Amino acid sequence: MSIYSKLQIEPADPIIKVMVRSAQDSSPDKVDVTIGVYKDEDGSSLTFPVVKKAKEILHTNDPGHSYTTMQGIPEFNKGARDVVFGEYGKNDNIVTIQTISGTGAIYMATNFLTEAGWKDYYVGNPAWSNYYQTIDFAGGKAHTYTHYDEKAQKIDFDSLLEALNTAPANSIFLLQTCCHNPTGADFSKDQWKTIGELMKKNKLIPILDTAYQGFATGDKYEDAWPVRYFYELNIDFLVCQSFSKNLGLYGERTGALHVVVQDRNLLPNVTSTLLALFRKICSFAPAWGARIAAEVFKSEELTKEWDQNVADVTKRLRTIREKVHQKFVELKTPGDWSPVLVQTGLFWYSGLTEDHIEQLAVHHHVYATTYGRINVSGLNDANIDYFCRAVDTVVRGSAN
Amino acid sequence: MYRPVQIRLAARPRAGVAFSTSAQLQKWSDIPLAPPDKILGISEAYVKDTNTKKINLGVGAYRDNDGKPIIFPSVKKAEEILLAKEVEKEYTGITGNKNFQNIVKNFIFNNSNKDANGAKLIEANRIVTSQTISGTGSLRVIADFLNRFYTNKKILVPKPTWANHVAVFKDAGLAPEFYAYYETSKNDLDFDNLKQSLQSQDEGSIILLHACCHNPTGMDLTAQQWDEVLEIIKSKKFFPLVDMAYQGFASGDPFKDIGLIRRLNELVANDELKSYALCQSFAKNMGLYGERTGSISIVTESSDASKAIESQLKKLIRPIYSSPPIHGSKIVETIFNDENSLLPEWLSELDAVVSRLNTVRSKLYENLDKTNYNWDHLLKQRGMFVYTGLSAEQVIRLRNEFSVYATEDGRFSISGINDKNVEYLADAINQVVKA
Ligand SMILES: Cc1ncc(COP(=O)(O)O)c(C=O)c1O
Ligand SMILES: Cc1ncc(COP(=O)(O)O)c(C=O)c1O
Repeated sequence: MSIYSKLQIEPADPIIKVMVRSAQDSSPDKVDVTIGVYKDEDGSSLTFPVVKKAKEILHTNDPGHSYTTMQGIPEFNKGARDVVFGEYGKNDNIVTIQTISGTGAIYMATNFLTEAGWKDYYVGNPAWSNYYQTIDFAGGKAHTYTHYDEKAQKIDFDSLLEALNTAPANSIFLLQTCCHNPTGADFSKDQWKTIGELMKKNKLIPILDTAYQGFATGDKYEDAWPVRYFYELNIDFLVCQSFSKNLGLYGERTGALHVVVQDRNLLPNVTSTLLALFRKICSFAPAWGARIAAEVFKSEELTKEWDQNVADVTKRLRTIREKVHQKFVELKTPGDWSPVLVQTGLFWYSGLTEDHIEQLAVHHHVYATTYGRINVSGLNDANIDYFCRAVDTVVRGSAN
Repeated sequence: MYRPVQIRLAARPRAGVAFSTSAQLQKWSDIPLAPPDKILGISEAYVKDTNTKKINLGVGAYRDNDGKPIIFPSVKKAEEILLAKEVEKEYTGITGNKNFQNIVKNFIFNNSNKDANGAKLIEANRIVTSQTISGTGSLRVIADFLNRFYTNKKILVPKPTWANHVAVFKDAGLAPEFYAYYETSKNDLDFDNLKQSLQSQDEGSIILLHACCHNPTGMDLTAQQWDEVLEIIKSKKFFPLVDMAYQGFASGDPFKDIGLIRRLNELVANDELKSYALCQSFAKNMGLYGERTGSISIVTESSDASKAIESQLKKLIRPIYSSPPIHGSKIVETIFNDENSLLPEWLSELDAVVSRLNTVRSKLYENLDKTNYNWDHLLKQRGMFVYTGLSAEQVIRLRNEFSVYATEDGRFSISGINDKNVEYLADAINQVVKA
């Protein structure tokens, strides 16, 4: 008998299946709005103009490929901290470690908390699916509440409040700061204040996951407001930061974990624990993406240009949302389509059913995730009309 | 031998950490202060030292004759090509892209068309390759994989070995145990004890083998000795895990440094061995250290097994880091895809690097005082290191009295040596050995 005979084939991520189907469809009408990567007006991938400049600079002043430090590239860490903490970034009670992008930051955050002895997690559904796997891996236990009420098409804040009020002290809440994946439904400032106060009162541990900073309002500083607000609460918390989306560095795996520590005596313990964990995972985070980001951080001119690039991307996302909404109004498509306007970021959580999505694929060459998440940037002037008509058709139940 | 797959993973055991859920405790107060990394501590002390004659023999990264890190010219050319043509930075697959995987398979397992057995295994889809976060990341992924699916947690590692081997394996839930490898009092491989200590082990353990340029001793097994060890591996049904961080640094030619892989492929092709795994890194031989470019490959029993294993690797990697970084792997792809110029350029640059190491090695040997100390082991050792056999006290004296920085196990990273400092260094060693 084979030594491998007990191994099963793990099902691929459902999104992969859709991508495969889409890849096999060569129709000129094809609209693919599955994957969480920004697409340009002409449907192509975007290199941020500022990244293009940073690449040239880096190539000319080539620092080479030596090992960096285990904590990461210092200029990157400092800049990343400033980007997400604003004026508090320079304070001495934040420990930053460069990570394998946002995923790696979440991995480090959960494993770090395991070391500290905390393992009860609260996750609002629907959530980024990787959360559950990461929590499992770290030996944590995931408890769930409802982030989004699918029927009412809005945040189910009561469900979160109940979780915040019933979770035992030192439970961990994994929250997204903006452009919630997959729902695009973010908390208001008032809601954040309620959350923050309860977390402080009930001694809960927040992990703030920020993968789309800037894509909600177009202003990175404004989008990071919840992070600054939590900092002002003087509580221990963690921030997982990714530059995949807001610098378009996806495959370069550029991100950081920041740990805010109230008891400054423990700063060395926190740092050494993070480094020891990281050494046993991969020793060093990849240099190149972090160097690109650092070029942007340290130049005032490039930083300004980056701000503009992010504002431009966000503006385009907003315009598409408006056009989609407008189209449904024109078509008198049955249902309430206002959420497409209210939601933020790359994703529109459409409320389309699995059956709708299947029909879109089979009859209209339109590919979206099975749970109805649509990447807004995959739409553009050339296909919005076609896309909306296809949705209108399947929603009316009149697919041919 | 493999446990059934669990849908939800059990919490992995964590060594040496006391869990505390007591709400009374300061939240993070029971986090222990982890000991600082020794090599990095040495680098820091070196940076602070104001002696102009100071020498850093700590870090395992190449320095040229001027003491500077290098960018391989072929790498820079590949980057120029990328700069001109790259238009996006989208995610690669969880296990990297097919082209990168195929390059690794062909380069190492097929020995670029020189290994018929390896070619057969590739053809039969019996090798699963995933790009990883360099060599460390590949060791971590395979350790987690074996912890999940292999029946035996015991992993035999040579004494001594790279310090992080033990740390990584333990953290993944495996149980590392040493096998005899080197006899410091003789400054030589202890082959008899090596065999004995393997013979005395239970069947089915995992065994870690350094493919070449053993870290830290620089002492490798001969082809004949490998054959003897492989016999034991077969009879004991060990699972071989090969770590190859220095491919090319033994002979100057990466195709010659993989004798062990060729032998393993042959055993698998002859059905004398079922499976093995290889951790590989381009950190040293392409100078891509900080870009974190490497891979894990698992040679499996069948193409069906490969499919299952690949899906499990994806499931394992996704929560750790989603997908590997692409700048380094694109450099590798660009070099290998240009078989007529960039690939041969890289090979000759690597050869030149290794020649310099060998020159430095002989120069050091020439300048050492052999009247009271036998330095012949230096000439037998290969790779970036010499394992001097100096005691911790002697290493500390070198540091304090001569500003020569090395780890206390007496391992010298010899690329820190060059024409300008070799005599000073030899003189310092001679003085420390004499007194
Ligand atoms: C909510 C959320 N967190 C974290 C990430 C991390 O992405 P990355 O690992 O590419 O930084 C993503 C990416 O899709 C995300 O949607
Ligand atoms: C024996 C051995 N294995 C693996 C590695 C991993 O190196 P990296 O993670 O930089 O590829 C090293 C690096 O020093 C090593 O010496």
